[in-house]
Amino acid sequence: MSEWIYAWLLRLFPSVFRETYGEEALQLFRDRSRDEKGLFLGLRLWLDLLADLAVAVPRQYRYAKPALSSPCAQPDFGGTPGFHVLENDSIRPTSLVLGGVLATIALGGLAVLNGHSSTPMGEVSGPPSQRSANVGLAAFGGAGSPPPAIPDTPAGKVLRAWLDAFNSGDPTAMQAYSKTFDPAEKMPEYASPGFSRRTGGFDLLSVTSREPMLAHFHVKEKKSPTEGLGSILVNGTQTPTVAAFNMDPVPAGRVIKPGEEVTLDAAAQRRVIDGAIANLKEYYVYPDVAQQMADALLAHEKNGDDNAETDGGIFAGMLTAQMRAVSHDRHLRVTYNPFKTQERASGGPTPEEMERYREDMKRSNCSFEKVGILPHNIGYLKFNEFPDPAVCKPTVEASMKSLGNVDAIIFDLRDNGGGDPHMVAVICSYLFDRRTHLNDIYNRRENTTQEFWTSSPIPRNTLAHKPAYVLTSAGTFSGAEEFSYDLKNLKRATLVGETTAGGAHLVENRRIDEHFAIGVPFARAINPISRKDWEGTGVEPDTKVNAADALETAEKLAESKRR
Amino acid sequence: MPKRKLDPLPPAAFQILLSLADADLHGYGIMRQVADQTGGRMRLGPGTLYSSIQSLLEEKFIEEVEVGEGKNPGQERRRVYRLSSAGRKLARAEAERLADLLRVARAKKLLRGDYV
Repeated sequence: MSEWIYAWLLRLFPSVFRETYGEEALQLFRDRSRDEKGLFLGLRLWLDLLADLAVAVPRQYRYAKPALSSPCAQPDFGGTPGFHVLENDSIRPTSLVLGGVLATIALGGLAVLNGHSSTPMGEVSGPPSQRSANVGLAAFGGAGSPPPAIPDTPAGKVLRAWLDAFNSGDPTAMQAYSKTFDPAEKMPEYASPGFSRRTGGFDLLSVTSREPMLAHFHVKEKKSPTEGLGSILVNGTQTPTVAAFNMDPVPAGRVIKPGEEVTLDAAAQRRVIDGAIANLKEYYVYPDVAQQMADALLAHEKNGDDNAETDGGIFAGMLTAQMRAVSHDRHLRVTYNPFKTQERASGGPTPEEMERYREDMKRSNCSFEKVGILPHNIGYLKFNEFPDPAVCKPTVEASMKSLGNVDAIIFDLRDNGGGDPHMVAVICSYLFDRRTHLNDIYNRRENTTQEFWTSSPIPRNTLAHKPAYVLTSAGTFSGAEEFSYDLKNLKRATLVGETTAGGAHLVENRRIDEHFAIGVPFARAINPISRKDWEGTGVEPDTKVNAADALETAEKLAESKRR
Repeated sequence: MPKRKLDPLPPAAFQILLSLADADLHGYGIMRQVADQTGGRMRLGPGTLYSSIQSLLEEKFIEEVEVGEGKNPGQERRRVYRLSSAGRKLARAEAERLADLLRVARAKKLLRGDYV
């Protein structure tokens, strides 16, 4: 009973804190109630707990604001209650009792009034912004049944450690996981707080580990029906570390049968390598680098580096790593699909794929996670993709309209993985009062250059002369970097945050065979002012701060400029 | 600038650093050690304890230690914390600051007693 009461009281803490430490706080309570029995000790325990709540809850909310800008974003930035306490101990006992009781009642009331929901304004839970184009949505769910047992193999051990860290949402836990199990950084993007938050973590649906060092798993995103199939290969038995990792979304409507993975022999491997090389040579944006990558792939094959790999996903991950070791091009990727894909006549999406994309965008609100007005009338817009304007332009228009009267605007691109350059131009158009040249895109194979201009002025738009800020992180990628780089070169926005990831190429998925495809970067950006791009170097912010502090810093910059 | 939760160092955080000086402890262990070392005057509640731990972890003054699986994995999985070298340095600096204060207090005849 008393544990239940305390568990209830714990709900007064911000959700971020609860998720990380709630269980431990409860454990501490259990320990103390076990050790401190009797009337006096029991009373003292409860007085301690109430005093602790009175001090720690306001303290947590007071610091919840920086957490808003951190990767594990604390959502509601409009109405978070904040109280100031001067000390966190040495308050007189009588004040403690009185303060504890009053604060508990008051905060309890506030929590009820707030609904204590964690739904921020404008936020729609959605699927992750997959960087590859083949986002698959399964139409069936697998929740409700107990999680499957993870085999007690080295691969199973690492898989469990990853899921624990990833699902905790705790950046520290994910860092600790990477340090212990992934020192060679084979899967950094899969252990990032941003990805964890976008997916809400993964429910494990099934796992098989027929060989001790290799496990196949099937997961479902907690926040959406999207399912993924993955494989993990490890080295070492004492403290196993990740040797390769791969995960791909499951196409809609497919039912997974265990053991359906393709088993590769040397001839099949050769076909995939040849297919990858043919695509690189024909389309890759730098022919000399394409040749170097082809040489590297063949050299690895000749050395027998790939021989042991009979698993499709691991093999795809390995080829990706071999190519990236030469080109450092993060757009480049060999993907493996356990389901047979059909050959298609044209490169464009099929009507079904387009329909799926529309549904996907609808569910994720076109990746527009937050739209709101911060204190001091600063507009704030957080979106995690630059989606296709044909689908998402109305969302952009509605969002920008809602920010019509702000004095400054902050674009939060810290979790933005890029997208369509046309959408970059659509959003930039609001920041100019005349048609402005943003960017050029050079297609190597066609030897053509496409110019991108804003469509300014936009009728009734009031943002053209308002100060603009762009928040960046080391994970800001591709189209989001173009947005930042364009505005920086035009001196139209102040960039606040970290140097971005460094990907300036446009990528297209090309089929190799019924199971393998390669995302080939075929074009690159050329900025009309600098005549350069940001591939490999990233975009330098004007004000360099940790991504977690970027929002607060930009707010202060905007505020001081207003005065 | 971000808000600094640990500057100045709150007494609770300092006590936690001290409690970890000679042993790695889990949350309840820290709470008991702090109660011991303060003669029962400071009993850290879960909220204060884990807020402080959170701040100390963020600033890398302490770190989480991987503990071996217990008999019932998942049931009693406890995080154990260890003082980092930065944390040790910080605790020493804070102790020296307090020692300086103590010397001043003595010089002003506010306190009598032994050398520290």
